[in-house]
Amino acid sequence: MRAKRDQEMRKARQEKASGKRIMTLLMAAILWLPFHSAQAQVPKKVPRIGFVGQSKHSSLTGQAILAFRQKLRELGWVEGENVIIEWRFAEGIEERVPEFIADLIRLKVDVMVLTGGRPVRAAKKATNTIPIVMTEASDPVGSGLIASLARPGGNITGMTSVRHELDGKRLEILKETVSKLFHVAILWQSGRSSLKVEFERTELTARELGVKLQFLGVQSAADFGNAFQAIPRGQTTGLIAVHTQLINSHREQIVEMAAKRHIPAIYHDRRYTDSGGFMSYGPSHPSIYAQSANYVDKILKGVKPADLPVEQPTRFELVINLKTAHKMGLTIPPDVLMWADEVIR
Amino acid sequence: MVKRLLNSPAFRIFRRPRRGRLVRHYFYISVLLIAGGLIASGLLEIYFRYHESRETLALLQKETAAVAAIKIERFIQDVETAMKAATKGRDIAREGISQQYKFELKRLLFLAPAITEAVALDFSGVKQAQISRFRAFSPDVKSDFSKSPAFQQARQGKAYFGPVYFVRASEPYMTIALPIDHFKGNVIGVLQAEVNLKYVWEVVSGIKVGKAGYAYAAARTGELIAHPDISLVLQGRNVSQLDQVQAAFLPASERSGGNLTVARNLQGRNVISSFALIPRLDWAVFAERPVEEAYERLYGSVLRTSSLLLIGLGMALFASFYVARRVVGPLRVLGQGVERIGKGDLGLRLDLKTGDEIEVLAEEFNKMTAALQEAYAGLEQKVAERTQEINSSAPRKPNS
Repeated sequence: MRAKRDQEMRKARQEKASGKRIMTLLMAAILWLPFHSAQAQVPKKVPRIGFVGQSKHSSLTGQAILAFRQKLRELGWVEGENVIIEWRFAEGIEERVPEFIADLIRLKVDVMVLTGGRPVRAAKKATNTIPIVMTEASDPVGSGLIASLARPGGNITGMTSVRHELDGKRLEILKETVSKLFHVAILWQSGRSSLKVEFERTELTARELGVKLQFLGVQSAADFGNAFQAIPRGQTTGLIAVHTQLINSHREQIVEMAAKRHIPAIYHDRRYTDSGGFMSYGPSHPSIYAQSANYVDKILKGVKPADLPVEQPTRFELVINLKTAHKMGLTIPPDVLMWADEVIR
Repeated sequence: MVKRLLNSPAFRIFRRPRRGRLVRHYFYISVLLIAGGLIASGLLEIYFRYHESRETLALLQKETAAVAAIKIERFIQDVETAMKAATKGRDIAREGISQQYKFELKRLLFLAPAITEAVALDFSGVKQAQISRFRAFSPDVKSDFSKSPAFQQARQGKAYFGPVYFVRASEPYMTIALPIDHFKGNVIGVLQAEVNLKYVWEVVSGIKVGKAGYAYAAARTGELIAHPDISLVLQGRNVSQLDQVQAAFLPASERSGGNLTVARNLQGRNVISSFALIPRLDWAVFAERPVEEAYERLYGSVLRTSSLLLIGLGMALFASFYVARRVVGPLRVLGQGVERIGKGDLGLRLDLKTGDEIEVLAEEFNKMTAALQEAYAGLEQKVAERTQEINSSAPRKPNS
């Protein structure tokens, strides 16, 4: 009898032991599973962003592009790790832009970031499949780039710029700052037909403000000297430099000439004021680029550009350079100073 | 006699063909009792958990919606406060509303980034000063605003909050107008501002509802005012066809049930939705989260309860099997012993040290066997004695 019971007990013990073994196996399987599935994942293709800037290559470390890269990082895109950015800079030579665009199309980038209306128009001709994020195209609806702000409809989305529309506002600010102002020169890159409508509007404002406008079109950097020569000297003169490619790439030169001739000037971007320009009023460049990173993020995550509404900048900054004002012997009225976002002294 | 006793039906239960039955009965009964209890308690647990978590969810989401509503209302209030401050400028007290008022308007735009345009109107609705972030205004052009509903309401001393409208068919705006008065009740003009509601996006996108949840605001007419996915707002999506939006704007008397509905969102996903109203603006703020996520914890607890149930059942099975075997093993030994006694092996003694009633029973059997053996031995001896007696008495009575 005993022997029999012993045998039974041994059997039970064996059963218990095998139960333990099953449990161990099960635990091991549970622990192993996530590793296994992680290994099983197919390595995903690293998306490529094509970035075409009009300025110099050195602007890669400029505020705007830093803001763009910073925002991308915040959204989880680490350059060189899970995203590749193809940087192309035209160094002020516009003719290179279409080349760059063709190059980026060959590289099969997943999204293109383009500055300004002309490059976007060039890209629209070259591709209607690769999503395009524009950073500063003025009036994209009027120029036929997109169907509407709310529903762009094609492969283009991004930010519109209101820089040209703000020229009237700039005129008002300049007039408020220099109350004697009577004559304002508008320095622009001639041949930009898209500016015509804006100029009509600015002209209207000028008439209301009692200011006479003088349009100075330039075609190349060599024309700047002559253009400035044409501006009459005197305390009643002012200058507005219109946001165009040629003017942007000769920022320092223009600021210097205006300073030399003691002409109070208002620009569209604080980079002018930072380098000695008198005043600037316009959307913040870095925030526009940060915003365009949002578009890139959404497109890389699979949202169609046709469904991404085009946004307009909502914040504008007024920057005043008091040093320059002082050199020109101008005092800024308190109500203009109060409204300034930043005063350089 | 003994053999007949051992073959009686009462003892037959221990015999081989029927041996499994008791184990099975014992096993079934215990499994039925234990498993039944476990399952019943498990189901009860799940039932209460479900109701509890539904209630907690409802409370939590309602609170989130209420907080979101308060934040949005505060955003508008901040704009209103800045405007109110602008109506109390010193220049107004001295000179009434004039060109000089532009200074106040500038300050207003500086303090309230959401305002893109502001205009000061005198008591007859004529523009005295105007400022915009985009445009320049001539001081000499005196437009007439007297027909605008904003002016008409504000002139009566009441703040005006206009309907949502879209600039360039994309950006949501609203008009706010406040009376400008020397002192309470003495209205001398109106301050009107255009407020870019895109800024509400910052308020709404900061509100987290669970993991994948979100909050958004809509006007009674269904225009989306703020949504974390700003694209939906800029596209001018109308949400009036959504069940939860329709329910939110029903009069309070017609609203049925609790403030928690399962409905479809704009993407067609099933969401749990709750809302809070901003009566002053006639807007509703919704807090929504996907149904799957909302019930994730509930599903987790159901899974936990059922796995506990399974483990319990397994243990119950094992335990009853073990117990049954513990009872039946000694019983079988007892049965076999009895069988051998029945076959005449009266010298057999059972050795069962189970420490329970079976041991007592075995001892009684041993005693009985001993008694039987003794009785047998006694009987044989008596027979031998009798035989001897008869044999010895026979010669005395040879004739009987």
